[in-house]
Amino acid sequence: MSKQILVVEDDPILRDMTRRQISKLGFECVTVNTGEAAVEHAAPEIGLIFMDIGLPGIDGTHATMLIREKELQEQRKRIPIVALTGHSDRQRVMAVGMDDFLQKPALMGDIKEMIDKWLVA
Amino acid sequence: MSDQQSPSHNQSLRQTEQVFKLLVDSVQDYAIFMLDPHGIVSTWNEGAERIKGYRASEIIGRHFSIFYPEEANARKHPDYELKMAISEGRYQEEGWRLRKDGSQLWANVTITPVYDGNTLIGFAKVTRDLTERRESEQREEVFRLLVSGVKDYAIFMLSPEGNVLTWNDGAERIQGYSAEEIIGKHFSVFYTREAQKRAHPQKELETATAAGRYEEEGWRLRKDGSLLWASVVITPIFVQEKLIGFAKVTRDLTQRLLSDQEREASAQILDDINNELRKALDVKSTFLSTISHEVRTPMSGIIGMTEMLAAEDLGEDNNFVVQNIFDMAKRLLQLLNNLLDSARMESGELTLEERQFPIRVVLGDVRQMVMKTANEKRIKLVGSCDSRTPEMVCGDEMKLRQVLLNLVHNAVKFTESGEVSLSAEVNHRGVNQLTMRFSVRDTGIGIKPEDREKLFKPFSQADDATKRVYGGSGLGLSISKQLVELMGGTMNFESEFGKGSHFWCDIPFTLKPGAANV
Repeated sequence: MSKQILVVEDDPILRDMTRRQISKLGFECVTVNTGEAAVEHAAPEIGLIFMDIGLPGIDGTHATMLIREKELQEQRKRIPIVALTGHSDRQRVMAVGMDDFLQKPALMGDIKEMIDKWLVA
Repeated sequence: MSDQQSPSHNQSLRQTEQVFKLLVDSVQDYAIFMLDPHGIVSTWNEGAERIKGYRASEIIGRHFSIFYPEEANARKHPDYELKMAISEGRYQEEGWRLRKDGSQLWANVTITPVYDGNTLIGFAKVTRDLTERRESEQREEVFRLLVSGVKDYAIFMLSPEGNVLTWNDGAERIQGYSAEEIIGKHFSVFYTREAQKRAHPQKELETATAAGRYEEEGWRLRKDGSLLWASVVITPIFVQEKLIGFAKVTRDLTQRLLSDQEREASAQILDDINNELRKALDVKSTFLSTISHEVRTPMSGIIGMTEMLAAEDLGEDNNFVVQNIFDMAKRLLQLLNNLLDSARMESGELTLEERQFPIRVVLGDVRQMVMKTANEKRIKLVGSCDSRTPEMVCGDEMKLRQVLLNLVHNAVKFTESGEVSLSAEVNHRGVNQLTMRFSVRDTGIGIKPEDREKLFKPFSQADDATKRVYGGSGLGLSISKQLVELMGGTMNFESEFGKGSHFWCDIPFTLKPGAANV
């Protein structure tokens, strides 16, 4: 059984949609709506994070940096983080320690490709 | 004169002579000496020694021509002077003389013949050294000539009251008055009525007197009433603390002012235009990226949800409808992407992302994405790839996908029957890089020669009829060409109207991954 997938998305409909897409693909999913909550939920039981960039409060890149810092402090394995965003600035999100990049809208095939590529068993 | 002279009379005469001699001897500012009737120096005073440089012992007994320059001696000028003194009773002149050390002095000379009864017993010669005065006069003359000849500056003197005392060529040229017309007039005639009303000319003189100098730039009047923009400097002239007048120097800066103003005005206009353009571009860019981002969120919902719905079994009719919603939504998204790319390209924000990618996969994917449309139009869509094509190349995969998809999509769109082909071949291969040529050929409507120019322009299609029949924003080719160029490549095409088109682009890739995004 693979680990859970964390979806960070502030738009309620998109949050529900991504959860449904992931469920349809047969994976377990947790959703949060802020960067702060994402940092809190980035625990060892999470095997992949889909992270929105434009978020209220700390944004997706800030949240990613905090998660990476926490992982170093607690000497944990790093959780793959895939940006799932309306922005198209791949380089900016990769620079803060994200692993991959999906521009919205993400179709089932795109989500599946990322899960196959990154999800930690 | 009486032959009979009393001893006491003789006594007093000798005393008088003695006093006189002492007087003469001690005069320092004049050379006073006697010549005998032949011109031989017979007496010498202190002044003579000081002025001529000879001691009495050196010069007494010498002919006085020794004081004259060679040129004067050549024309026997010393003899002439003595003759003139005898015939006129007195001879006076100013001229160059020589000192003992050979230097020249400008001398004022008076020669008076001295008689004892009717017998000439010699000449009294009085010489004044006017060298300094002469030199300063010469300097003044040179200076006067200099000032009067200056044409670019009006340089003139004012009396303490402000009346014009002197006038130079420059003043005549700049202010328009001749010397005769203006000398004696008050300098306020150069000022505008408004300046006169507020007693500006007088204030200038007062300020100059108090501060030692007055300087300004301002409007002045020429004789003909026209205005000139003048730079004015007024300097008071004091002699022994008494104000004797003002020196006024005026420069005509009218031309400079006008050209400065024109320059400033046009620079200002340019600045304004540029700012407006920048603002407009900023607004457009912000608008587009905001729209793009804001529209993307609901679009993402529509597309994602529709996709899920389309995967359900809803019955043939409903699945057809949902599938169309899905296709339309994707088309809308594509338009949105094009608009954003176009805006970012214009503002130079679009950058390359170099990563390794499987190039054959990209070619296959592109073909696959257009396959459905091609099948619906019953157009054959074929692909080929040069066997020398490497498995992986390094470059911007997304941009290559976008360009090829656009070209193939266009080809299918504008072809009603026949075939569309996408082929890739290695054009040139080096150690670390290679250039690929991607060709898209179709058997479609083709492009008229006169429409060639328009093709790569944003928002334009070959003609309006095309737009009506085929739709589209006309952004695709413009963006594709710019993307290819951003990748360091070139895009070109050939076409025969009614028979088909061939678009190709040559794009360089590196064979080893770059430093970034390995």
